[in-house]
Amino acid sequence: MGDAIVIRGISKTYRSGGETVNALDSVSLAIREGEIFGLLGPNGAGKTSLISILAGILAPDAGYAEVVGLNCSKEAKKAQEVLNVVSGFTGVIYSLSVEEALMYYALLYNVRDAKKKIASVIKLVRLENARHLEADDLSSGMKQRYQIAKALLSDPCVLILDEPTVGLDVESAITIRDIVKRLRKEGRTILLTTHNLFEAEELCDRMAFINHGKILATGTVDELKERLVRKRTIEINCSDSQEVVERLSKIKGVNATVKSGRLALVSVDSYARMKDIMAALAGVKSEIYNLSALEPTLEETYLRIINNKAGKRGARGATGKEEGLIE
Amino acid sequence: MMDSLTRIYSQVYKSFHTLRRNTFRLADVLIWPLIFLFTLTFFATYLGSDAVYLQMIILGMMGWRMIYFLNLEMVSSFVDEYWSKSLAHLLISPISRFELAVGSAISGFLKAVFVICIYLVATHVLYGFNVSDWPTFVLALSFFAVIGFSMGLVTLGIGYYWKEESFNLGFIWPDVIVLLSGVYFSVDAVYPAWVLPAINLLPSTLAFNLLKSMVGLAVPDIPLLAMLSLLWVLLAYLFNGYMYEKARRAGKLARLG
Repeated sequence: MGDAIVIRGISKTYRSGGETVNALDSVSLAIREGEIFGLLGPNGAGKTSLISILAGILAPDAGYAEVVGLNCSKEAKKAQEVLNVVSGFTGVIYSLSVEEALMYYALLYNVRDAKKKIASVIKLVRLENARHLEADDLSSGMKQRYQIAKALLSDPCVLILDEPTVGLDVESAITIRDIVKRLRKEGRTILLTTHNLFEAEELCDRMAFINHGKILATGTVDELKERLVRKRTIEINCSDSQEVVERLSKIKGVNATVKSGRLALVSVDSYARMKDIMAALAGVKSEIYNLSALEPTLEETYLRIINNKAGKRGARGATGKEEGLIE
Repeated sequence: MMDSLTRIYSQVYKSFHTLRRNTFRLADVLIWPLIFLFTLTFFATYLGSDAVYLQMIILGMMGWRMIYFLNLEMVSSFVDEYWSKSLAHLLISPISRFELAVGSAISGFLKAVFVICIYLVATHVLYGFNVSDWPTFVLALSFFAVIGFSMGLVTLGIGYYWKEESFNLGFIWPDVIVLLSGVYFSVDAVYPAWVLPAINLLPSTLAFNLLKSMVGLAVPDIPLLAMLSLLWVLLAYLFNGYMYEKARRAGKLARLG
């Protein structure tokens, strides 16, 4: 599969309060066709600037962005035909019913057989009973579903979801995520920005962490966690942790410590040591109740990478770059 | 071509359905125009004005409504999207700034024609008013539409960057133009001689002269009016494009996040 979105060396600065703010600093990314790609970062990291450039409403100072081979600045109107946006922050147009508002967008995007298409997207997002209500009167969850319907009208190859579940109750957020999963099955490329790391982990095939206008890391959830994990840790729940630690410490590449009378923590440089550990545990008198690998969460990974700015010395004197956390 | 016409029609569709569901917007085409009309015509009849001055007021009001509705519809259609926080959805769609301007201008034109029809009926019933020269009347209204479109392009251009401030401007500057153009009076009789060369180069002044010529109160200069109207459209379109790009570079066109 090729790349649906290509971003090369995009930079953008703004003037704000007499100062120049670097919103994006030589950002490069490639998002493959058919994948859900997460863009994660704190407020002001540059996510909105990046998606605004892709959507054609912000001009970059340098670099270029392409959506299915169409330049988002020079061929903005053509690129806008194949891209659509759902945003958790935008509103719905006043004084039009759901059906009328969708017809308005169908006209803007020259949707063929518009009435049929509107009926199908209304059904997809389960708004059949609200079709004649004024769109502005819908609940927050319904408004987000309406926005997804609006975005799907034009049958876009690329869909940008900008915090689609922000401010929604649990049930509405689950419904939105279910719809997104269905869209993935249809083969659409989705760029998702969110502060909800659970959502990102559940939905995204790959993701990038962005802060201060720079992409700090890119990869699958496992690849990103891998950067954080230098040593893997196993927690052993047993009747005599002292005996377990003594036995395991004899194995090369294993560092075992007593955490409590019944709990031993074992650091290994690779899970390939597991076979040796299991063999050693088979020979101890102590009862072994439970054995579990302690993996960092995406939240820990995110915080570690986001807070480890390139060039900033960490506790051990190494920079995030030297530690391999930042690309 | 058909795609472009469909996108232009999208603005008319939005305007029609917003008007249909919004009492305040309905008042804008049904109540306020009649109040303005009767305020001036009642005052003129109270003063015992000649029929010719009453006709000038009625014709002037029709011309002014054309400018007013085109300019205001172009900016309000845009600012409505800003107020409802849906502007980003409009601007990320494939509609071009030309299609956006033309679509909303057509909505404004249709509203103006509707109001002018009401004026024609009301003034015929009350004052026995009839249009004496239909070709000149239609030609003058066409020029007013072009002038209103030029003004709308400028106001919309300001809207791209400053958003709702353009709405205030959309109300203010047609009134200034109307005052300068002598809708209900002769500019030669009111303004000092040193201002007149500038005022007489406003296409709106020349367009009102064309209307006034229907009742023998002015001499029209159609070639100059045509030339200046086209010049205004050209300059306004360039300004509109400049402001669009300026807003797009500064990140002020629309906000997604």
